[in-house]
Amino acid sequence: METLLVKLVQLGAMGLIGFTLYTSFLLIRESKRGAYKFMGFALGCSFLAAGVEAFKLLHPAQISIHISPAKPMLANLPPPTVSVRGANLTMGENGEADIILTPGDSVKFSYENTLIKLITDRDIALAKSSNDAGGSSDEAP
Amino acid sequence: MKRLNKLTCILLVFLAQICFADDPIQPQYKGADATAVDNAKNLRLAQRYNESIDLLLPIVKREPAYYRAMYQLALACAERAQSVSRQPNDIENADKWFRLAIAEKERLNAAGTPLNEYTIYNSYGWFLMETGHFKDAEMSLLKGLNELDKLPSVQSQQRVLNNLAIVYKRQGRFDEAAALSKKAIALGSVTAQKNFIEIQQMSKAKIQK
Repeated sequence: METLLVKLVQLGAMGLIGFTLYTSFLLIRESKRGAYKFMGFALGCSFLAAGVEAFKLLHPAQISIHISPAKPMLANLPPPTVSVRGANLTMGENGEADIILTPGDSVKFSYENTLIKLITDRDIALAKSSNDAGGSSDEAP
Repeated sequence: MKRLNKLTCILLVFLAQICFADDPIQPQYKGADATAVDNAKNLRLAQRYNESIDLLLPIVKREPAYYRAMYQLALACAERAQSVSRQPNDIENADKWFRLAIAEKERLNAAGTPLNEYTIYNSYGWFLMETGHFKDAEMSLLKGLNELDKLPSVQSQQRVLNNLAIVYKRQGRFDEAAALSKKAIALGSVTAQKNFIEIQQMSKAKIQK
């Protein structure tokens, strides 16, 4: 809702600047006095708004990342570790997470434990069919 | 004719001895119960888990300190849990019977009359590995490792070593896993050879990281 309001205000401001530019253009065509001042004001506002947007792009205050749940992929795996600013974040049991970053932050995803689990699960499956690993079911007295 | 009758009698007595032999581990359990446990084991190995469990349950109820019956019951529940005929409480029951059997074994050990049977530590460790309890599996397998020389075969020893190596590998303890795999290789384990190469690669990757 908040985002929508901000977008509406931005749209309104752009419309106002556009209208001012159009009006000043009409005034210049009619050679009215003060038309250039009027246009200069509109252009100034446009450049200012563009400058603010460009600054925001170059220096973001916050970035929000959402990782969606991925149950089929992670059904039998522990969630990967996500580390931000050196601190580990807990992901949901289906691998979902909401991460908010500030400038200078780095995100590190670690799948090491997940890979080790995958490998050992495969080892257990192989051990079941081998004679030199697995249970002692056949040797139990 | 007389000689034939004598021979038949001797054969019948011999067969009766075999059929109603005392328990090989706990001789105080005689005849019928020991035979029933043997039958239950055969049924379990033939994947007839329900019949095996039905045969063992009355015995463990009647003889709550009968180690071999509890051990077989634990295995039957654990194996049924992985079969199509699994029942909702099979895992919990298997765990319960494993614990009771091990408790009885350790009680007898403390009383100075140890049972000459050590495969249960690997069986329980393997059961815990399969159910995802790697920390507990490690404890049981370590007990098996302590009794390595008392295990009935080289294959048994290889199993303990390889299973514990998998547990360590899972925890990222590659040095300990590699040491166990080396021991298993020395005993001729093929699985350990494959495992050892992989453990070395994983260990190397961890160091480079």
